[in-house]
Amino acid sequence: MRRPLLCLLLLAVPMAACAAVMNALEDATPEDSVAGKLVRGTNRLRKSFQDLDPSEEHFIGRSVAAQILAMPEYRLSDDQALLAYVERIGNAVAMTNDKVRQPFLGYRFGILATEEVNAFACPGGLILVSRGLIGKTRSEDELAAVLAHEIAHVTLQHGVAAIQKANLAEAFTYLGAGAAQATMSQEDLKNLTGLFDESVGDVVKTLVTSGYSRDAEEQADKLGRELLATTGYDPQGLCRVLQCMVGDGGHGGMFATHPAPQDRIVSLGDRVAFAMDAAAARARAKRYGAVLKS
Amino acid sequence: MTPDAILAPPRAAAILRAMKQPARALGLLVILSLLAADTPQDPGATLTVTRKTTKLRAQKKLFAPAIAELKEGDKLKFDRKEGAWLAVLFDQVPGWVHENDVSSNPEVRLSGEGVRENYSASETSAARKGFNPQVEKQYRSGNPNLEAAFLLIDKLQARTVPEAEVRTFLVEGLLLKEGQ
Repeated sequence: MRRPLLCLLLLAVPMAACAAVMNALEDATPEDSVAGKLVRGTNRLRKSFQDLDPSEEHFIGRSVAAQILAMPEYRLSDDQALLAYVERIGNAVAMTNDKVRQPFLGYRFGILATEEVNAFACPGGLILVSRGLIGKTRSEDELAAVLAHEIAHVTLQHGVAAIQKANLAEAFTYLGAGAAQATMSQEDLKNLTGLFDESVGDVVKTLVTSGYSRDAEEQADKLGRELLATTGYDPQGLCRVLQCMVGDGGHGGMFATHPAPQDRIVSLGDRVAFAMDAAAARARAKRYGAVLKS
Repeated sequence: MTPDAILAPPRAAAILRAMKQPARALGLLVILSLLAADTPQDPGATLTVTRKTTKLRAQKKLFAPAIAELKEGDKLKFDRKEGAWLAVLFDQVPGWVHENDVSSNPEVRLSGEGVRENYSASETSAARKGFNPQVEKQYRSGNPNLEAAFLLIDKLQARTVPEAEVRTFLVEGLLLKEGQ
């Protein structure tokens, strides 16, 4: 078999395999047989973050957000008007796009009362955006761009993908088909909570300290721009916010965990044609101004 | 083809015989995997709602009128797929759901938080292994310093923006035309 074809097949298997069939085959084949080894090898490859069910992602996201909100630098803002505005823009983007992955509970938003320029897309759709980052926007379209980028991270499951492979592998060994049918004992609960704790820790570390990979940021930028265009917002919104950060000399927060704004602008490539209707610009400027320039 | 159909006894035996040859086995696994992907293939396949709540819609588009409210664990009968939308039957009522709102995996783990009252407890992850409310409770008991933050998250997650309000917001911002 030609090598490229073999590679393609090996990739196709873990991407598309169904847990029920593969686990049934695993049960039906002796562990030391060639077939058994093949099935087990394929099953190990299959067990990626995509196997986390939506409600599990939701519970991981809640604990990730709790860890972030327990940090003294990340308190929630009590600006209810701004929160309501952010919720409407975020839901407008999420609800008008077939490409958006709708989480277990839907998207929820929180404003962090810090001037640090930062945002966190927790698994399960809880998005925390700082007052500092909102302050870098100058229009509703730019604020929508910030939120669309975070919604893209949730859609692309970058948060759960941050869980270390070793922790995931152990979790999925434990959550295997046979075990999933069993009633949870105290020992099961203890073991699962340990794996949950480690998984939450992996995501928090990535969101707060190390950041997503350059590729992940690029994917979120590009999908975010696509989401903006579908909703009807200016797809250049993200470039405008990033431009605002170029030469800002910012440090910490997003500046520490994301690629440089100038690099992100370059990665986004050519401008997407967009003609803003004057009446639309006035309508959005009015409500943006009412919340953010008062 | 549903997973059950794939593993009907005569076919399963043939599969296992074929798997004695690694090259054939790999090819077979690929075919099986593609057939058994999470997206339903055959009319009549059972789908499970995986979001806490969602809507059965009259048309295959967002903001289309809702025919019924669906809850986590509700079973739907798959008819066909068009783009990101699935034509389904819920209690014999036809309608559309977004493909992200359901799973064709019979082993999908549910939280039990959104299910209907008559839903069997043993069918939810509250009685099964999974990252579920029991695990969160245990995690919280081991991290009492997070309790205040969890209460804030409860408040944030209790906030909802009704679909009608989002629609009005879009119309007022000239992002959506009236009646669209």
